[in-house]
Amino acid sequence: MAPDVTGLEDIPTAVDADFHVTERQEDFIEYIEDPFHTMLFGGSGPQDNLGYTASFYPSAGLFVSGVATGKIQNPTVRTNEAVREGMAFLGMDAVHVDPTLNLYLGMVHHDELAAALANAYNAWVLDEIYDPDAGIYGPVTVAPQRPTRAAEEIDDRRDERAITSVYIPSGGIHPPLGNERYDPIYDAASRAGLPITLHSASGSQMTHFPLQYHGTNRYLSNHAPTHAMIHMMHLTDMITRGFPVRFPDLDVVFQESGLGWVPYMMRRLDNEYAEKRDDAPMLEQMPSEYVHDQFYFTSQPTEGLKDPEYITSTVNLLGPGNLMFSSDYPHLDFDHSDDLLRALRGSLDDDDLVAIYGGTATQVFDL
Amino acid sequence: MTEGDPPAGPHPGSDDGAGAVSGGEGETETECESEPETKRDNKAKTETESESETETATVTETETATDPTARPDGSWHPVADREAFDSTSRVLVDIDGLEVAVFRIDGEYHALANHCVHQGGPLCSWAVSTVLTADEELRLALDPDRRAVSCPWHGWEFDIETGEHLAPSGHRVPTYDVTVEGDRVYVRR
Repeated sequence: MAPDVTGLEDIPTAVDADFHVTERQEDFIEYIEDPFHTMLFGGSGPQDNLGYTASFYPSAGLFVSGVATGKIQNPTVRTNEAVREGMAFLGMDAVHVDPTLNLYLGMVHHDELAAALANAYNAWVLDEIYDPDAGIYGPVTVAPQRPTRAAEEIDDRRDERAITSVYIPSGGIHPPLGNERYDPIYDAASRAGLPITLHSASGSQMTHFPLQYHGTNRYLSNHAPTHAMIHMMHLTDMITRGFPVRFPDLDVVFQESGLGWVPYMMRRLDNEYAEKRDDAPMLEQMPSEYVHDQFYFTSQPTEGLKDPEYITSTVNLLGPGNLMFSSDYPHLDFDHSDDLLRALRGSLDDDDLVAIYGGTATQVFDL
Repeated sequence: MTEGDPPAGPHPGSDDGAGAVSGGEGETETECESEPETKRDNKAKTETESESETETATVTETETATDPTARPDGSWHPVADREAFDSTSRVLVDIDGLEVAVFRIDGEYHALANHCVHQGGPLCSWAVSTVLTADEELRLALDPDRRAVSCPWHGWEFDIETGEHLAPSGHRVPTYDVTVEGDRVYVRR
């Protein structure tokens, strides 16, 4: 029986399902293993890199106005202590810590380097950031460029208590994530009993999706549609190619895409599947039923918080059991902890509020 | 025209049903006094196994209504002479305002409402096809034992035997028992 929920203090275990470190390449590059360690550090020392190798992560060159102009105070979160400060700020008992720079890992050009960078980043967060005794958990991050190497990474990290998911950078990758080439990752995640987390980055759309990126010459026109669009694409591709049939016990968490697209796509997929069954004859349930069974969504950036009718009906149409509160702290569009709770309080059952604010994340991430 | 091909015309009951069968013709009182004996769930095996072409024949309510003996118990309605299915695989019959399609596929009869539960399209006026499935490795395969009708409006497909929507939406179109008594095919509604 849930307690009477009037505020965050009434949530038994408040969990943020999408909290970030703001790592730089220099934080974890020392962890990179051979041959890349020797290749990068074993020579006669860095020469003029001509600006090409300062970061192996492609930058879209977005002019993020609030950040570029200093109008937004972006906390730097590159230490365990900084994570704890963020947790206190948000009033969270536990956090699922995602990367920032490594949101772009799927765009790293050299596929073996991408796998090595994932390995180095995982080593760094396990050494310096993750801290399950303090409620600081996170994913094992993998490079989708090398699915078999990603599977090895999962196998190697799966027994770490701090590891709560397998993170696939979902932006800037091709083909979409329903493709069978990713099955080694899904097989390894299934063996490990870990859910898949998918998180895009607005600047990561430039290489593959959508081509209209080049026509969007402002951050707003890029950021507002792309998070939801890329996840619409992945969700549709995964269902159409039978991911729920191939991996019926593997949960998937879509992060940072807002809410409204989810009930929209659930119904749009049902509507289209009703007349296009030949494109996915392996499905044994309607697409929305698969979404309900094994796909989850984090709340930030929650749109329509000031519109009680919109937010309540959207959460109910999505399914309160499939929604996890997330802050996206410390990124520039983070949601503070109480806003969604205040918007839903009085219209959702306390059990649903407890589930959204930690119960579902505790179960899916096995915290 | 082979099975799965569309009928010659876009609408049931139009002139494409060359050779349309008059349901009342040839009926006798004796033949219809009692309920036909060979009833199965919306299908009945025939002695004639030859597959007929997918063309549509129609029977109008007016024609059947003129022969009161055509409804021995108020629920069985004559569809056509069995021979009619030698030249067509489906016959459409209007029963109290509801158009019912009777198919003979691989020697078995099936009857469904010619009304799509989606948006009311003429469900049974178009293609009959083999059902596409996926094998254990999710490779596409055809199920030779299943047939489906697909609505020409939006492509919703329904199992011709059970009336179930192939996409597992829970929707179903009504199906009706069919039987053959003597040389006549009857549908029960």
